[in-house]
Amino acid sequence: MTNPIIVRLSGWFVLILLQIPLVMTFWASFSADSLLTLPTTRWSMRWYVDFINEPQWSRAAFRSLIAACVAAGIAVPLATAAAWSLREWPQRFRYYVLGALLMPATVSGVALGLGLLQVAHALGLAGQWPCLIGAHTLLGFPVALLVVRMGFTPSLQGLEAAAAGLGANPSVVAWRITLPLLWPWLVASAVAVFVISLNDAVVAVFVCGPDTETLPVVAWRQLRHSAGPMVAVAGTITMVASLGMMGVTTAGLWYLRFRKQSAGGPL
Amino acid sequence: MTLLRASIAILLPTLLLVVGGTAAGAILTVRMSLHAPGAGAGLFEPGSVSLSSWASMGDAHHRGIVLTTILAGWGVSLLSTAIGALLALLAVPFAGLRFMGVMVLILAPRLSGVIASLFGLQRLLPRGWIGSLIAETWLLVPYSTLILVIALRGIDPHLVPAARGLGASRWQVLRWIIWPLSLPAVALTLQLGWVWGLGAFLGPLFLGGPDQSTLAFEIHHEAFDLGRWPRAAAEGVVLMVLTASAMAAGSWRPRP
Repeated sequence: MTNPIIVRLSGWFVLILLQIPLVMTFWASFSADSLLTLPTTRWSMRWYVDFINEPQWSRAAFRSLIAACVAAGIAVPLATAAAWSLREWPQRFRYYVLGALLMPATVSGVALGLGLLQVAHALGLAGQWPCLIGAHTLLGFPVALLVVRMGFTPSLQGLEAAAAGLGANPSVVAWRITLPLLWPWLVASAVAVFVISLNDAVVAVFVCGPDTETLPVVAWRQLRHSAGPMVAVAGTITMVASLGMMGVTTAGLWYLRFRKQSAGGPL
Repeated sequence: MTLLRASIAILLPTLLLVVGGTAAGAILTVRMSLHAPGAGAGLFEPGSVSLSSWASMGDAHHRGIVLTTILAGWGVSLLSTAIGALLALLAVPFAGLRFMGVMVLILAPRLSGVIASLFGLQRLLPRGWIGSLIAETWLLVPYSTLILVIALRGIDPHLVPAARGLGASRWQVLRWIIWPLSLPAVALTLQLGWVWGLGAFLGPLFLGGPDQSTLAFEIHHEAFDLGRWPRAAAEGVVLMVLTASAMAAGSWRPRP
């Protein structure tokens, strides 16, 4: 498909515009001054050193990583079980159930945060780790479900049926057929939940307590009042962590696919 | 039948957790909106029943906020769909690693995290309607593009060369082949953009002025800045009703 030249030029122009705020954040994080300026002659890593040395920031970064890993660890098995079981539901019910499972994605982040805060209060978990993990699991679950569902292709179902026809019991089918073919999708959905959790600020503002404040929440408070180079450092770190995680996963999946192709196996 | 029972048993805990968690939050929000504001550290006065938070929902201030929210939803939806369509048209002709490269650039605003994005946007955009709308659109464009890319890649690849072979210009291909076939996806993008745009929060918070207060912004302001949680809850209920109405309106199809 080739588009008219004006469409292509406008597309590239918009694509470049989309990157400018990110480049500015990256640039400002190397500022040598305390005031927020874009460095041109004096570049410095001082704010990165301060970020590591200041417990408020480094602890928040560590908490963000923990929360993202645990949320991904919970959301992906739940999403896999849901995607597997949805296949067996009668067609007329399936889309209602799917719609219900995707509900957290359709509620505004602020409304979801407000609701979850009260659920946490009712359960006596306000401001605690289970509350933050639960909220991020809920936030990432719809995306994990959509990604895992893409892995349940008709060809996978055909292979499962063939294995079952040859006498394999359901657990053998799941272990020897379904999981080996599904795992790239499981990895992709885990990365998606990780990135969503790592970047969430809106719901986290409602559910975090003083001991569970994540990096976006700490940066958020600074951003609202006086954004300094430290916020740019926090933004750059989350940006590098998220893009790095996506990049490594994509490269890994491409490499494995290439290796399988070279060995003559199925794609 | 056994398999169906097993699948119901497997799905039930997840369904309870996901739907229960979201629905319980919504129910408790309604309940909190019917309490009197709390004195001291509590979110509300336990045991109290009061409609005081709802009394202000019909005043001129709140009517203005609801109108701004609806306008922001439409604005964000239209802009993000238009920009998403442009970017999708740019990305779809590529294949392999080049396609992935372009997609990473398109998704970068979302993958990089809101803090990096908002920090940069605050430096670039003026506060007010323009800044608020562009920031919110900027955060939504990756999703809109993704939906449209999936739709465009689903179009039969033989149609375009066939039309070109029959003498159609690139504009004619776009107008008579691509556009009609991507219409359902465009409608879906507009609907989702509207629903997400109604929850506009980060743009108005970091780049908006007093005239760009949306419901989501107001909820945060009432709760965290003023400590009036029941009023924030009442606004939360109004936002949920607006969102549900937008979903229902978008899903409505005339009977054939």
